[in-house]
Amino acid sequence: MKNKLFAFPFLMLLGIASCVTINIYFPAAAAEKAADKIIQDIQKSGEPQTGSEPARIRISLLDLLGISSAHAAAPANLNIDSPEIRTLKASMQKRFPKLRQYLAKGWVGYANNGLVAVIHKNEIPLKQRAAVERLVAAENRDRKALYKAIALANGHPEWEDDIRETFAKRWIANAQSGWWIQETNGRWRQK
Amino acid sequence: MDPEKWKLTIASLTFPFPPWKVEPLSLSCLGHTDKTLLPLRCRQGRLAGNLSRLHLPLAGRYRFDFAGGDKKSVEVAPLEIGDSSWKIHYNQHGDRWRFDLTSQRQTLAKRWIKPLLPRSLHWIKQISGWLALTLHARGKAHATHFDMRVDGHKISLNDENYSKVLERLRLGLKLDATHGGQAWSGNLDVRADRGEALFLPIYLPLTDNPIKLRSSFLWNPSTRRLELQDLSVRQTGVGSVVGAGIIDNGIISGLTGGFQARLSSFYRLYVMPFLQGGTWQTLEINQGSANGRFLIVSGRPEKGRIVLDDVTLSDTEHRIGVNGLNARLYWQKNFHNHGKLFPTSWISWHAAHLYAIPVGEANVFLRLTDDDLRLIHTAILPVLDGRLRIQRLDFLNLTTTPQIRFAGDIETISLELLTRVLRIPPLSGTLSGNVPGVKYDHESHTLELEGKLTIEVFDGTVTVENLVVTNLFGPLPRLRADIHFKNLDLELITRHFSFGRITGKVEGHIKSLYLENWRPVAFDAWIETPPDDTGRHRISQQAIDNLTDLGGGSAAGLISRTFLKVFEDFGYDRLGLGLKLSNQVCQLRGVAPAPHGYYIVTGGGLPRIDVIGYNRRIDWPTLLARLKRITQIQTPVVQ
Repeated sequence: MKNKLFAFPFLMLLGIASCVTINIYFPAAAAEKAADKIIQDIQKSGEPQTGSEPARIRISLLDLLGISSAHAAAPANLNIDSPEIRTLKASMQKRFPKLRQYLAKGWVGYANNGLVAVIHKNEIPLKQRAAVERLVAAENRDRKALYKAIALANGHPEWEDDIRETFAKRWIANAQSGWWIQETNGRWRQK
Repeated sequence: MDPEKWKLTIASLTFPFPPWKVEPLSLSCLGHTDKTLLPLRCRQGRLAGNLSRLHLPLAGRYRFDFAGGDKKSVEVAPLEIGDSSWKIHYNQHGDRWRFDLTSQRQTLAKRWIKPLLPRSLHWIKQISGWLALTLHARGKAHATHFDMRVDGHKISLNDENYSKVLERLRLGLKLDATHGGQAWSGNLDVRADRGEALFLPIYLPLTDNPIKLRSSFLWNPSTRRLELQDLSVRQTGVGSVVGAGIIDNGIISGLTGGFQARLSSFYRLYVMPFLQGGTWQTLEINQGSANGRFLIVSGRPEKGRIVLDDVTLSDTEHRIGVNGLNARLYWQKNFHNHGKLFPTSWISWHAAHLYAIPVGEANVFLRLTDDDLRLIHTAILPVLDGRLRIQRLDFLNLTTTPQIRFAGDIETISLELLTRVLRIPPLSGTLSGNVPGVKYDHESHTLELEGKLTIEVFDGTVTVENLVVTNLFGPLPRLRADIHFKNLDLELITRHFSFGRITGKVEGHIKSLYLENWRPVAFDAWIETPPDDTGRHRISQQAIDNLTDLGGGSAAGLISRTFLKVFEDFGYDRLGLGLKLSNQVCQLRGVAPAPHGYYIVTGGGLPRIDVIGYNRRIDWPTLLARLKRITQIQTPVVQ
């Protein structure tokens, strides 16, 4: 009897505890959508028809009141709109026209870990090697920071790896044909 | 043993220097040997062996003669090492001797290069090319003279990652040394004048910009002291360093010298690679030269001087630029200058710009010590028709945790000119203000303004406070500020836009203004007629139409369709409008609540006209479209 009385509040506590256990699963579908949005926005910059004219500072009243393309609405469930994310995206957009040239030449490819890598190093003219390496290093710094920033913007720093994995797949899925991509087994092939 | 022939096999022969080991080595002699002199003379010998550490086979012919009293000679020729042919001569007369070694063409191969210098060349993945080598030494018992010449041709090599690469390099090395007294004195001459080299991130186009190094030296093996005299490193089209120094036990005890450089090519080869991928990768030095002197003591820089001459610096992203930059910069590790005056550094330029804002000719006086840079006289920088007076500017701990201290004034910059260069709607008035301090945080790239900026414009004042700029030169600059305005003359404001004329004064604020990439993301703005404004309050038909449109009223154009069109303008009592932007939505409010809306303008006198807004929330893009429609800029009148 005494044991039963003792067990009752214990079970109740357990019941409460199990009631408040909330599992928040990584929203994989939303993450894919968000990744696609970001990747496509970045890959749009410097598309051949638009040219890669250097950014010029021109401020007009309307620019001052204008709306930057970085503010497009985020897909449901995953927030991709924080100052950090916008900064990183702007930085990657600015870099992409150059990166696109390297991707097209097969000097740089989309790796299976959400980053970019210098490949076919022996084919790159010596004069351009440093620029390629530096650009790739800078891009990877931004990419890592972006995955972290998205996780933080959604209040789940532990999602960083999932986000990185999602992005890895989506970069490759969004790669243009002819660009080099790394398969899950580590092998590189031309898309 | 046949006296005419003999054969000697040595299982292993070890040297303290390359090639370290020959194992085994067999020597044989075929005929022509005087029996009595055996084994002091051989005229036709053969040798064969293996340089085991270098993985090279060895085969050759030799002859020697040790039978001539105090005359001795050895000749090994040809000596085939791998696929290369060598010649070795040795002659001795009494205690005088002479040694010569030549190789016309030694092919470079990884299998012997790596073991030859295992510590310094272990990273080589591939190598090709060939060397020609001559070495001559002579002495009297001990060596007294030595000279060597190595010519490398079409040397290509790389490491696993292609981060160190040579391509078709031509290299020449000459070294001579003579022993006198306790030390060796001599000359070294190295040149690389063809091919390309990459040591990430530095790329050297040696065909276009060959490099030559020369030096005379004095080397004392007992004290391990190396004295360098007439040291020069020259790169064609780039610059040169000349100097002299003393190195004790591998540490620079003292090194002094001078340098001169063509800045455009020096910058392109040695600075730009480090900026690639960063914020300043688009910075260029288009012209100018530098020269200077330096002193290094005990392995550390002690003092230096740089003179910059007629430098042009530009940024393909048009963020900054400087023309006609001249400078004389003196740097010294210690502030104490042994009683002498500390040399003053200065920088001057003919013209400069920061984004679109031009900065005129200026002279800036500085003091550079250790890790700090300090302004020592007030600097006056002409900005358009006004000027920026910098009373204090210190950059401290430059290479560790940079700190900036700043204090200055902006003196009467004409807004007419400023708005014109910034290509924003023209405003009249002046910008002036005091900046008592600026804080800079190098980790977050944040500049924070302490104090207020005052802008005198439209007969009133606008003050900017709490100005914080993050990432000023980065990909997405961010700005936060609080702005207050007082006593602005609406007539002057409306004159600049095709908005429609309004007379009277206004005051208000833009609190928590937040811009990204110079575009608003959030703010809380309010503008109203001051309660104590006693001036004339008139508002034109057009202005009423526009305000109605802005507030979402449906009466736009109504006046012109009614009898009211005979009135050019109307009296009003008060006007007020609030806009609060967040999350892409703007909330609107007026000067007083009205049925189903809010008053933007409350009428005064007859005929009485009120402007009532009905939309309390408008999408920011929609509002922008309306603003665009009603704030068409009138052509500015240039006087």
